[in-house]
Amino acid sequence: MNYFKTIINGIVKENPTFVLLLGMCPTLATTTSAVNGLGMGVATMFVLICSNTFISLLKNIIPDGVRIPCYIVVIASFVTLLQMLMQAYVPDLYKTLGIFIPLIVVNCIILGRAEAFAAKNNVLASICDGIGIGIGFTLALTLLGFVRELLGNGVVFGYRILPESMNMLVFVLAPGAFISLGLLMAIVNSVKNRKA
Amino acid sequence: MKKLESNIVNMAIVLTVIAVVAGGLLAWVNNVTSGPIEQINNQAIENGIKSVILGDRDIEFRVEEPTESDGFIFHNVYDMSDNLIGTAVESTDKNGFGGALKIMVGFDPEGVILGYEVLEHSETPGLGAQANGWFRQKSGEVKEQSTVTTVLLGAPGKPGNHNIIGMNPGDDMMIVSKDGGDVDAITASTITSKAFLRAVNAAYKAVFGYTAADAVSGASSQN
Amino acid sequence: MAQKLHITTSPHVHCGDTIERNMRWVIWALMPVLIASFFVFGVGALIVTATSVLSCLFFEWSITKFILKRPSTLGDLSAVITGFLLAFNLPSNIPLYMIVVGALVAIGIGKMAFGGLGNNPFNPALVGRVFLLISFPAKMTSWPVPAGLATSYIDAETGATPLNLIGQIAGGNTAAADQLPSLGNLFIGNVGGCIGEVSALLLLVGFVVLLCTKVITWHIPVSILATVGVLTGLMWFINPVLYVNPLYHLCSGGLMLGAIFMATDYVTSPMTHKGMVWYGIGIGFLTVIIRYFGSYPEGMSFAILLMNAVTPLINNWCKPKRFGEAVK
Repeated sequence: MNYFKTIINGIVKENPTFVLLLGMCPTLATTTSAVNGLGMGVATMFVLICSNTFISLLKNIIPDGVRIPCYIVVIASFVTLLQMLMQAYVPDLYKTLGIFIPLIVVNCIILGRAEAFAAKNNVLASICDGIGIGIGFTLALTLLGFVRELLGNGVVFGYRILPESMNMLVFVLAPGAFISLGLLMAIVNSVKNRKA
Repeated sequence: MKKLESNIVNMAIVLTVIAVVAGGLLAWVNNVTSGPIEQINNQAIENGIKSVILGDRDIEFRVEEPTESDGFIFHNVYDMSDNLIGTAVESTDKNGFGGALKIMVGFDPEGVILGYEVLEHSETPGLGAQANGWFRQKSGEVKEQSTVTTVLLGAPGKPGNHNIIGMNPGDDMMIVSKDGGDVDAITASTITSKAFLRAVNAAYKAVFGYTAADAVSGASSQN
Repeated sequence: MAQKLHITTSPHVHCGDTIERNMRWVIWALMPVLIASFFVFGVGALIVTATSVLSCLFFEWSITKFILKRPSTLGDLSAVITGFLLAFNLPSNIPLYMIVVGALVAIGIGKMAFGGLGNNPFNPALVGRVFLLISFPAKMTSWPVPAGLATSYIDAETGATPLNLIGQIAGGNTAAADQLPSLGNLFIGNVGGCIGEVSALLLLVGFVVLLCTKVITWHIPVSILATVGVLTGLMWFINPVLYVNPLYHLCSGGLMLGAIFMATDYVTSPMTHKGMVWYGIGIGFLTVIIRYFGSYPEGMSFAILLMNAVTPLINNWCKPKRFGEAVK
C-alpha cells in the first residue's frame, strides 16, 4: 500500500465534498466564512484521524455484531473531547461553530471512513486516509467559505476586498450555500473532464 | 490476531470496556478543562459589563454580586469610593426575527444609556445581525460622489439617527422612527430593530419603572 | 443528392406558429406598461429596462458561444423577454451593476445551467429577481414614489407602496389606511412600485393583446386573479378593519404582471387546461398567504417559483385521456 497515494486519493479522487458528497450538513451550514470553513474542516480532520487510528487498532477486538455502536462510542468520545478542549482554549471559534461541533458525531464522512477504510486496513494506512480525507474536506470547506465570504460580505479572511454596498447577502444565507456548492462542483467536474 | 467472534458475551464485554474507557477519558478531560471554561465564561460577562458601563473610560471599578428578577439580571457597578457608576442589565426579547435576542445594556444612575452588547442572537447575517454595531454608529456625513458612480453603484448610505448611546429611555421615544419613535431601524430589518428596542425599554423599565415609549408601544409591541 | 420523396409523420400542415412569433407578441404586449412606467418614474425606467435587456442578451450570447459552444439562440428572442420581465420586477432607481448581476443569474443559473430554453424548471426572470431580492433587500424594497418625467435617477424620493401599507394595516396599524392611494389611481398606475407593476389597466391591455393573438389562454391568469379575489374578499368580509378591499390586492403589486406575463411562461407552466387552473389556484393561494402572513410585502414571485417546482407533478396528475381509452 502506497501511503502517499492514500493521502492524495482522499484529497482529489475521493474528495468527500466534491466527489463523495458526504457531510453536506456541516458543509452548507458552517461555510459562511473561510475561517469558519477552515475551523470546521480542521476539527473534523482531528476527529477523523483519531477515530480512524483507534478503530483500525481495535478492528480485531471488536466483534462484527456490535461494530457500529463501538464506532459511535469512539467517535462521540473524540467529538466531546474536542468540544471541551475548544471551549477551553479557542472560545471564539467555539462560539462560531457552536452547534456543529456535536454534529460531527453524525457526520457521514467519519462513520463512512471507519466502516469503509479503517476497519479493513492497518493503522498507518488508516491514519493516512484520515489525513487525506481530512485535508480534502478542509480544502473544500475553506474554498466554499472563501467564495461565500467574498461575494456575501466582500471580505477574505477579514480583509475587505469589495465595498460593503456590493455585498450579495444571499451568499451568506442558506440558498447561497447551495448555489455556490453547485457551481464549485460544476467547475471541479469540468476541470476533471478536461484532464481525462 | 483473529477477529473476535460475535457471540453475546464477547459483544457485551467489548462494548462495555470501550464505553468505560471512553467515559473515563472524558471525565478526566472534563476535569482538566472545566476550570478554564468557567474562567472564560466569567471573563466574558465581566468584559461585557466593563464595555457597557465604562466604554473607553479607564477607571477602577468593582461589580456587586448580580441579582436576578423577572428574567432580568442586574449588575450594579461601583467606583472605588462606592459611588454607583451604573447598572448593567441582561435583558431578553423573545420575538427577534430568528428567535430570542439577548442583550446587555448599561444605564448610568439617571438612566442615560452608557453602552450595550448583543450577547446572543439568531438574526440574519448581514441584516439583523448588524444590531451589535448599528445602534452605536454615529451619524456620518453624506459622502460626495459623482452621478455616474451613483447610477452604477448606488447612492451612498443616508445618515440616520440610530446611535442610542447617550439617549435616555425615560425621556426619549426608544421605538423605531417608522412607528413615530426616535431611532432609525436597521435597513430592511425592522423586526430585529423592534425586538432590540423592546429589550432596551424592558431593561430600563425593570430598573426605573417606566419608559417614555410606554404610551405608544403598548399597541404595537404585542405582535 | 436532392431528396425526391419526403416521408414524415404528422402534422403535415404548419400553422406558422413559432417561438419567435409568440415572443414578439409578448414584447408588443409589454410595451404599453413600459411607456406608462416612463411617465410615472421618468427616465430611470428606460435606463433599467435597457440595461437589463442588453445584459441578458450579452450573457445569452457569451454563454452559448464560450461555455456551451452551441449555435447562438439570440434569435428566439426569449432573452429579450427575460430582460424585460426582470427589469419590470425592479425598482426604477436600482444601481445598474445589480441589474447586470440579476441578468447573469437569470440567464446563467436560471436558464443555461439547465440546458437553455425549454429545459428550465423555473422562470429565469423570477430566479434573477428573487436572487436580487435576497441579496440586496434594502435596495430592492425601497421603491421611488411617482414623480412624473422630472424624476432624476439618483435622488428619487422613496416611499411605502400600497402593499407595504396593506401589510401594516393587517399588522394592527390601522392608521396606515389613510395613506392608501385611491382605487382609481391604483388602477391607472399612479403609485410607487416596481417598473412593471404600476398600471393594472395597461397590463390588462397587454392581456387582451396576448389573448387575441392566441399567445396564451385565459386559464392561468384568470384562475390566479379569481383565487386572490375570493380569498382576500373572504378576509375582508370577516374583518374589514384589518383586511382591505380585495380590489386593492388585485390592482397592486406584481399580481397582474405575474399572472399575465410570468406565470404563463410556456416552459414552466402545466400543459393541460385543467392543470393550468390548479396551477393558478396554487399561485393565488400562496400569494395571499405570503402577502398577509409572510415577512415580505409581496409574495407573487415566490408563489410562482414554488408552483413552477410543482408543475411536473401537476402535469402528471392532469394527463389527458388517450383517444379511445375506457372511462373509469
